[in-house]
This record gives sequence, structure tokens and C-alpha cells, in this order.
Amino acid sequence: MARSEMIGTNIIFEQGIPGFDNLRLFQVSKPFDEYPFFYLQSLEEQEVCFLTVNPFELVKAYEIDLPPSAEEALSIKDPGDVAILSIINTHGGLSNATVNLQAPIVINVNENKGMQLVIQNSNLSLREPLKNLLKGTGGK
Amino acid sequence: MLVLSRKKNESINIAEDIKITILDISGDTIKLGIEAPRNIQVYRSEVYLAIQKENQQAAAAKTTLNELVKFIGTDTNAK
Repeated sequence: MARSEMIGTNIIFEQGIPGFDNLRLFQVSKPFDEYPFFYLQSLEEQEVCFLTVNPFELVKAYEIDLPPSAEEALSIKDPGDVAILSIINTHGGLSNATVNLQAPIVINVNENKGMQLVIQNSNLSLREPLKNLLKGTGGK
Repeated sequence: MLVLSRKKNESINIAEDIKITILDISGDTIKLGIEAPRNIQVYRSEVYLAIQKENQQAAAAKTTLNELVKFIGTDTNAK
């Protein structure tokens, strides 16, 4: 569920995202056609750029239940409106990179609105090793 | 910071549309009932702080496309 409509358009994060509450405008780019990786680049602070991945491509059984609060905040009317991206933390280098499955970026590709959703009471990890996911052995 | 005391079953209002009620008190644990508009996200502070930290680390780490290609290239299952 990562949709091509969102590539290159300005996406508004009305509440910013945790740690970057002041940033509102981001743009998504897809560096490789063949891989489910995306950059989420702040248009206000050049330095702020997240490497993200479409979690559905990495974790077979990945599922999230969008709460009404998210549907309301992003004006989601149809499941087809939604794209999901998980932020990759490469702080410790790519071989130790982790994927944030617990708090995905949710984008309404038709309204160009986005937010970082915190999934409550889930078994989803905040730091799922990317390595495990690429080997198809991790995730829930 | 506003500090105030509340007893069980008492509540506070924040602005017009957020209401927090003390539902139960047991030892050092308090059970809260939170009524807020549907477009407001409510979560435990430690969860928010953990995500904030993850985001800050993730944004600070610069991964070049070359590194990424090389890394993915070492695993043939990714597509």
C-alpha cells in the first residue's frame, strides 16, 4: 500500500511528527522502481529526511487498524486513499538498521495529508531489525 | 503548570472538548477515563518520547543511495 500518486507532491503534516512538531511539509520520493523504499523529505528543513519502507512489502502479515481519529484527521473516506510508510532508523549503520512498525507514517494520497500514527497496545515493534525483515524471518 | 487535586469520579476539562475523569485509584496506580474529539491522538507519554527519539535518530542518520543499493544487493529476497 504505497501509492504512486503521492510521489513528488507536497504532503501536509498538520501536527508535524514527534520530534519535528514544527515541520509541516514533506515530499515523498522513490529512489528505486524495484524496491519498496521511499524518502520522506522535509521541505522546510533540508537536513530532515527519513528513509522509509512500505511495511506491507516486508512483513507478510502486517496489518494496521486505522482508528477513527486517524481517518478523521486525514479525511480518509476509502481504504484506497491510504499509503503506509515505516521509518527506518539507520543510526547504527544499515546492517543494524531498524524499522518502526509501531508508529507508521499514514498518508491520504488523495488529500495529500499525512501523520505519524501511534498504534496503541500492539505487538508491533518500534525497532524491528531491517535485516530480519529482508530475510523474511521477522515481523508479526 | 497547573496542579490540582481530584478524588475518584471527579474530572477535569481541558478546553471545551476534552474531559479526563479519575475512574479508580489503587495504590500508586490511577485509572483515567479520557474523552476527547476523534481527531485527537491520546497516548502514554513514554510511548510518545520513544517515538520522538526514534524519529530524531532516524533523521540524523544519513544513508546514501549507494549504501542502500549495496545493502539490499546482499539480500536476494528483497524486491
